[in-house]
Amino acid sequence: MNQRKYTNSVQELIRNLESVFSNQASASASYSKEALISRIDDVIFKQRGDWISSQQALTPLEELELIDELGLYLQEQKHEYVRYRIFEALFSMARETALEYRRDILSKLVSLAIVSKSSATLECAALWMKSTEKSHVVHLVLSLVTDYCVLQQNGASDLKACIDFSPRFCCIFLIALTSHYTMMSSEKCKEGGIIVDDLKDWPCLRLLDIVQHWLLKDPAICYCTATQMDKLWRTVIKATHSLPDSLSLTPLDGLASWCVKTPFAPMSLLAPVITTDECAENLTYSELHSRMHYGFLKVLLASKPALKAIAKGSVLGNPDLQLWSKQQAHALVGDLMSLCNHSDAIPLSGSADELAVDRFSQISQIAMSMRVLNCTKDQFQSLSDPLPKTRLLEIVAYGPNRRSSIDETPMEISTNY
Amino acid sequence: MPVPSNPIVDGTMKTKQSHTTSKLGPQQMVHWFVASSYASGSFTEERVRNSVALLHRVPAARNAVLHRFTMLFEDAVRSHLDHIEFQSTAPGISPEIASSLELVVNTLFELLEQSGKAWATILCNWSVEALGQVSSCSKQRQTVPPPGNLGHLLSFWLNVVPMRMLLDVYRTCLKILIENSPQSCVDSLLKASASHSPHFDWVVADVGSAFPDAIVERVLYTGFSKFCKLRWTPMSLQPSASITMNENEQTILTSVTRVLEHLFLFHPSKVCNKIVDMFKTPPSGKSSSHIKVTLYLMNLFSVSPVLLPATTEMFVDLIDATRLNNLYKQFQKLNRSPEEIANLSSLVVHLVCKSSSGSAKLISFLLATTCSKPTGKLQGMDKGVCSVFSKIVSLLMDDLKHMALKEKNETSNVFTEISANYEEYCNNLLISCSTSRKTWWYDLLLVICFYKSYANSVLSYILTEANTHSHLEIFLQFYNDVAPVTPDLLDSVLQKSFQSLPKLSTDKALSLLTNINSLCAWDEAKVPSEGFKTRLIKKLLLVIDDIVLMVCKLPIKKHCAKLCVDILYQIMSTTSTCDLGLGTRLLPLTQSLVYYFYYLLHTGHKNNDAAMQSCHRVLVQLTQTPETFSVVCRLLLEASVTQEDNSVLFGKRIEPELDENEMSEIQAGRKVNLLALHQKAKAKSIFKSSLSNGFVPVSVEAGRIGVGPKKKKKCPISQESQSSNNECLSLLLYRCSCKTSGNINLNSFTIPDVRQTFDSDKLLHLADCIISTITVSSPQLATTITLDGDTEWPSCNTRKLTIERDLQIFYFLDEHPFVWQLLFLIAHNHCAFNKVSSIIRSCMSVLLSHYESDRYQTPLPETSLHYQVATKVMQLLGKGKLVPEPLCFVGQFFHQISPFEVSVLLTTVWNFIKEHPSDAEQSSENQREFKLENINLQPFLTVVHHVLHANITNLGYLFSTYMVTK
Repeated sequence: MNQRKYTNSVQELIRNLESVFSNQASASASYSKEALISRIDDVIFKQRGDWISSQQALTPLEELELIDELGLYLQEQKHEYVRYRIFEALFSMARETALEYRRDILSKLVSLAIVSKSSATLECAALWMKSTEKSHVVHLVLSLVTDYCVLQQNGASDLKACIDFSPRFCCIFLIALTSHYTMMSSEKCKEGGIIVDDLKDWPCLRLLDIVQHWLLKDPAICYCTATQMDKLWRTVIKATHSLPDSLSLTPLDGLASWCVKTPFAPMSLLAPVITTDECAENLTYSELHSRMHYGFLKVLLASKPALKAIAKGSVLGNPDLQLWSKQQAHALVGDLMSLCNHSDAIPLSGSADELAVDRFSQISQIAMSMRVLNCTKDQFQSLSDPLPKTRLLEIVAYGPNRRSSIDETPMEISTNY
Repeated sequence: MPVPSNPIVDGTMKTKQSHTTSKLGPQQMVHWFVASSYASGSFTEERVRNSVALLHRVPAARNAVLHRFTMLFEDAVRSHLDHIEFQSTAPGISPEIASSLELVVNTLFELLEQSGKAWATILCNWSVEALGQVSSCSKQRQTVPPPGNLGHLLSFWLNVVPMRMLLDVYRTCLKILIENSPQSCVDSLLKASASHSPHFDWVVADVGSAFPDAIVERVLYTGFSKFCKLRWTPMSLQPSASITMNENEQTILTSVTRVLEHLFLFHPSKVCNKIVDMFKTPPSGKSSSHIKVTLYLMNLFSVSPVLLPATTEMFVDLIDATRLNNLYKQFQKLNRSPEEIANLSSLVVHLVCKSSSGSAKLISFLLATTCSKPTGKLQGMDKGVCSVFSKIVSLLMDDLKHMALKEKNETSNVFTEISANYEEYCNNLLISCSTSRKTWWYDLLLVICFYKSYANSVLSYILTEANTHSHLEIFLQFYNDVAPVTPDLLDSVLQKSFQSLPKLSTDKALSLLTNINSLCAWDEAKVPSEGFKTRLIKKLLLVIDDIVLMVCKLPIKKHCAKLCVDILYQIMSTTSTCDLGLGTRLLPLTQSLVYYFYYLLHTGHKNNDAAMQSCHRVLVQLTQTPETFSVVCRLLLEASVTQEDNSVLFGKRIEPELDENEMSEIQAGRKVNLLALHQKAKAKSIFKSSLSNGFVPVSVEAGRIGVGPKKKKKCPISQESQSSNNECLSLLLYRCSCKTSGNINLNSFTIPDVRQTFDSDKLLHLADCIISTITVSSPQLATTITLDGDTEWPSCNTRKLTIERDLQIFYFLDEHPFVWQLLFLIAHNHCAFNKVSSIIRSCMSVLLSHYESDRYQTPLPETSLHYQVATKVMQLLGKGKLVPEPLCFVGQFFHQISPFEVSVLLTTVWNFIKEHPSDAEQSSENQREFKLENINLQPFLTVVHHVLHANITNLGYLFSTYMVTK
């Protein structure tokens, strides 16, 4: 039957690829690497080169078989290098042919890997994400988010579980998330006569839940790309280092900005509640954010091993690598200023402005003390100068002794504080 | 049907029944699903349940599971259709499948309920694709109605339960999408419609009816955004998400149109309004969106023969100068290349050619835009817009012309539409001052003319409406342009014109005839018309009967008659008699002209009136030959006497002369006292005349004794007009009798009264006519002519026997003075005069009796009737060569001698005529020469000498005249 024929041809091609990658010295193989790769689109994805007749040739069932087969194969392939090379041969975004379709199949493959806890596939995917152009990565991530956070009722638990068998995937996933959801736009836009909040820059509630779960469960997750940099990763990343729009090494910058910007979340996000696995109570968006903020602070505190690894030069051979650079902090301050309602005045107590500035102060304080943010006192003072002044920021920037401008505020506010 | 081929898989499946599936890992579930999908085509509830579980558990398997569901629905529909087709042998949908279907649908609804927003998009796409696929699969089934019958198809599918379920799912999804994210809700609908039409159209119709507004709007807007992306985004930047690879402008437009056209069937106003709304308020506030929308809609219309006509008028109403200016600015920003403008222009042209209802309005609008100083809602239009439109219009005209020439025999809506308005275009063409606009109108009319049989209508309309010389020039030009492609054009134009003539108002009819007339008289030297005039007159011959009829159509169109007469003249003056077909046409033609002539007299026209002149002219033209002259003469003269109202014109006395007393007495019915009347008359005569003293006789009419005195009658027409009428008729006949020598100058009133001027043959005919006229005027006169009609003069005393009849002739001549004129005319030809000599004889006989019986010594006054007749008779006799000189001059002194002496002279003349009759054999060409006849005048002149002697004091000077020198 068709089933056999198709899976057989897929298996055969993969075997051929395997033999090419595993033993490059023996060129006796009947297929050259290039010839094989060029057959991939034809045999596996059944995509012809021409654009006019190009139609989805795989039935949904065949797709399912294909990703199942691939998942099994990657799981069984013990040689890490060969595994990734085959993965890359199939899904490299550098090859233009049938690009979108292969990307869709990849999304499904990763999606299946998550639910079937296939760490091999996820590891390959993590490296693929790190070494591929950002737009493709974001596409993959969004597709996963749709699958597990939007469509599936209990899908979040599957994603949360990933941390147990592929922390690197989680880390890259975080990076991609934070780079996509910038939390910047909160303006209203008109759609079909109804005014709705523009939510495309904001992560959904479930996603936030997953992120805070990961951070709290294992703060080191954010550094695993740096600390677990093996030979394969180093080779691949070095090869694709020049890629113009790739993901950063750690999610620190993104997470920091998430923590700081959360108070400005649009109203429609704030109302719904979610029941998480850990505690029975319902959590709102801002509560989840507080948890995430707490988690992030713990992440900063756990930065020692990563800094050590960097200092050793084992991460991409660059000892000067900054986990959270001054420029990034500067950009965050800029974003914050544009988000604050009254950037020059002293924020009201309990307002979003105050909360955001306070969080920024806390993060900066810890980051500076952990040497994640390499910044002198003076530099920080000038950095935070344009921000609305809160007590905490004053303390962080100038120390507790400086007589702050807050004191001059009216009596009841200062007494409240 | 696939058969179970893998018992092992089947076996494993059976062992892992429902209680185990939920405990399986995701990967195993996938394996299990794949295996069961291949295992067998039939669906068990178990497998479906497992599929549902997989759908819940593994997101990556979603598509496969949904695909499986599609198969399930397809299977169910197939069983259902089988059941309908082969009632007994096919069981229909099995309970297992039914419950599976229910399970699936419940699951889907559950998902939609839980997280509707997320699932709606996916399920919407899936359900609509499934609907399309199932519809397509069943298209060849006998039971399924053909796609043409949409209503039938719709009701059929709605009765099929699985389809119903699918449709419910789709509707629910659509509802959720319309509420939440309306942007993309119809993408899948469009796609499915594109790939499964027309078997899918019922779905479109159904959801269209369910959410008409939203669907129409979304279909429009989705199409628009795709269109924009394809057209205005550079290839490299094209976002791949919303546009699949095999979509291009054409497919998008086609699918949008298809859906809209279906919706249009049920909600025409909604569809139209949405389209117009889209134009009014274009989506997204970008600066160039307006022009984009416009281009999009135009492209849409170019593929839809349904939507375009429905909305054309709405758009035309909507567009004004500001909008056009705005669009133009945006267009300039958007497109730089001249090719783009050319493309746009050709698109516009294409649309106009395609539009049907409202296309006339559209074209008028386009033409209005080319106006250099637009008014109304186009006021303030940009010059650039104007120039663009000029280009468009010129292109349009070219295209229309080609189309018109090409599709000569096909029915095309745009032509039907514009053809209906040709009158308006003609008016515009004639009125418009701007040259360029004139050209457009002209071209448009050309198009109409090229198309089918409108050429004659258009030309005849222009002919009717033309007022000035330049209008006629337009007409000529138009004719020259159209004639090469239209056979027998002039023919049909004239026919059309004359057919419509009776229906036209007087003004229009007048102007039509004026124009034809002036075309006939076209000065080819000034404006060359390539022999048009000759052709026109040739063709006019074909409608000559209509023209003649028009002449008779008095007094409804009295002004037209004159023009018709003019046209007739034009025709006659340039056509040979043979071509005129006078053989059959002469009589009606003459009748109507005569009728017209008397009409003119009745309405008080005089000799020098233009109408009268033209009438004369045409009659003169007609009487070129003696034969026609005879007919015309006869009709003219007979009409003057046989019809009482005509004879009144010349002085026939019909009304009784009554004074007031008499009137009142007659009215009171009183008997009249003769004695009283006598006394009254006497009293009157005392003052009047000193001659009548004593008894004054009162004449009493025979048979009316006791009723009153004999009533004198009078003519109701004034003396002045009587004489003018007489003058007119006689002048006409004089003119007609002239020798035909080409041109007749009507302006010269004087016709030289010499013999050579007149055609002797005509005079002979005229004489016959006069005789016959007198004959038909009354039975008494007829006997006068017939009984005593010999040309021999008897002894004058014998005439006493016929005095009564002679008197009638005498009074006839008195009442018809023109006959005297004619007699003078006839006298030029003595043969002809011989024929009418019986009339003269009667007059002389009366005169003899009168003068003989008069006992007064004093001569009769010059004003008396008898004196005048006597002089006329003498002149006639002299002129007609019945009496030689100097005997014929005796009339000169009748007023100076006593009545008896007059009677003596008259008797002498009579005797002369009696003794020297005119030779009837003699040729009419030669004058009678008395000298050659060797006549002895002496005995007759002796009588004259005696009379002269008796009155020697007065008449002595005349003596020498009557001396005969031998």
